[in-house]
Amino acid sequence: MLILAMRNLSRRLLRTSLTLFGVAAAVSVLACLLAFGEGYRRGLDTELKAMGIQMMLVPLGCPYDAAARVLKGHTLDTSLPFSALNAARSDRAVAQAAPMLMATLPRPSEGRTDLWVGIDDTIRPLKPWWKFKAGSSWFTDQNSVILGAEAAATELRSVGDPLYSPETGRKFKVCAILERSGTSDDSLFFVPLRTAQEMFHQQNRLTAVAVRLKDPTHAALGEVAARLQEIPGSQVVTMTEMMGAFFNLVGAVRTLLLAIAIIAITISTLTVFNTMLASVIERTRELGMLRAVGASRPQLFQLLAIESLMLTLVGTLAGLALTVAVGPALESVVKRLVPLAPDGSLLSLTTWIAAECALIGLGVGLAAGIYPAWRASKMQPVEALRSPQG
Amino acid sequence: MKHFESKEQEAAGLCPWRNKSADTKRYFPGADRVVETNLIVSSQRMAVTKRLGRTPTGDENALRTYKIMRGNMCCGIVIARRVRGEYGLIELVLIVDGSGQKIKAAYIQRLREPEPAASALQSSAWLSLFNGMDGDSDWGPVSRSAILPPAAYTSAAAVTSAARTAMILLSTAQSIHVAAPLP
Repeated sequence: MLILAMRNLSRRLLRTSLTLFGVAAAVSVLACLLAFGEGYRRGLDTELKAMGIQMMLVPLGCPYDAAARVLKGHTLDTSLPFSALNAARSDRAVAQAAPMLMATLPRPSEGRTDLWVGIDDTIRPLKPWWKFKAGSSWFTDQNSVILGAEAAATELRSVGDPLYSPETGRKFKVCAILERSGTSDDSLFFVPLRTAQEMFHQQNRLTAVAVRLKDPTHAALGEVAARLQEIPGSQVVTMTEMMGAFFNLVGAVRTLLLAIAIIAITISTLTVFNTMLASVIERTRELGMLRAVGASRPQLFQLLAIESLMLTLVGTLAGLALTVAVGPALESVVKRLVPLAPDGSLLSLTTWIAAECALIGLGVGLAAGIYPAWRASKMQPVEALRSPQG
Repeated sequence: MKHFESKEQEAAGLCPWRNKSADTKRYFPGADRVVETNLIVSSQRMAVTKRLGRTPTGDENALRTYKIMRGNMCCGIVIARRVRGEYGLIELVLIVDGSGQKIKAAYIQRLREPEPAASALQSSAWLSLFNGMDGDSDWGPVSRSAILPPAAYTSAAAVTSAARTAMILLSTAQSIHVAAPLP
């Protein structure tokens, strides 16, 4: 049966090839769309996880201004009550909640402003880009200071050196220096939270709480944000909200591409249908002959169905191969057009995506081949043999 | 010539001169412009090593200077240096005479020292000891001056070492007459 189906398909090589190409192109569009979508989602998830923070609690006011200021290492005019930290930590969805107290120490006569940040060790998982220079250790006492790379270079400090804050009259010992990270952390002075609260007379107050969730997917984010929003004196800003406009744009583009893929699949289905129907009509006498020599209706149905499925299976495999071949070139184009695309590969053609495309391809084959196969099986041998066709 | 023991020198990086216009008016009245110049001394590395008594750091291959001009005449040179003080960065500014030989004045532009060291290091009594000094002067009495409290000795040694180094680099550069004007 398989050999017969293959022979039948190869009899009209040009038509078969063109149909194959149509199926391959449609499957390739679908595979690219799904692979880019998956790759993009993975890339963004990786970057969000690498950020370590999914949301921030900030004092009431303009949330995006507050969050942007904190992320860029600026202080806020208002503060959070310490109870906001406890409330965040007690939420079942929160994996980590890290407090921060930020304050500036300007020295106008020297044209200098130092930014000091009070933290505790819960901040460490939320700053996965922090790498410490050799000899560094975490805070050893309340008078330890961790310097950003730029701050240490400016002050000509090494680990173990003393550091003095003239504005607060406090002496510190440099317990650690961060490797340069390219973030605002490079120019900051980090001290224990209690020390910062004492230095800046902000007992039991915080500037912000950085939150990492157990499940950072979009589904969980909204629900958790709504709960944390209820904490008195605070409001929630999610990292995805900060990038909200960008996500909306990506979603809209994805919907458009999906519509194009559906159109391509529909066209390829109709192409296969047309090819198979033409094949049945052309081979009327041949099929009648087969019935006359004893082939049953189910066998004829099976023959045509197999031809249709073979056509679409080969087309699907060709489409997946096309995706792998042109994917990298497409990826470089996409990265140029989408400046905020995540780093790393955007094309993620997983086994599951390949299987999805194969199933869709086979589904197209079945859908397109059912009527022609049924029509072929319904043929009366006598009428078929009389037909001028085939 | 006395050589000072100090912590192994590290490259300190360039230091900006923050009070250009006020200093120019004060120390060089009548000056009409300031020309920034990089003096290259890398070709005289051996001579510099001998005079310093140690290996020069990478950023001591060149010396950024500010030439104060009155017409076509250089009436003075200003050098700003970053110094590793005991408790943080100290920025030292040296006002040098037009011949580039002797210090006319010095002041501290930035520092992070606690009291009483901060006041002592910034006092005119101590800084006036820099006047008339050059790279070959005996800087020992300056760094251990009775004006200074003991708490200031470490940073004072660092500041005087930086001043001495700057003057040695300046005199070396002038002796080879190599100048690379900044674009």
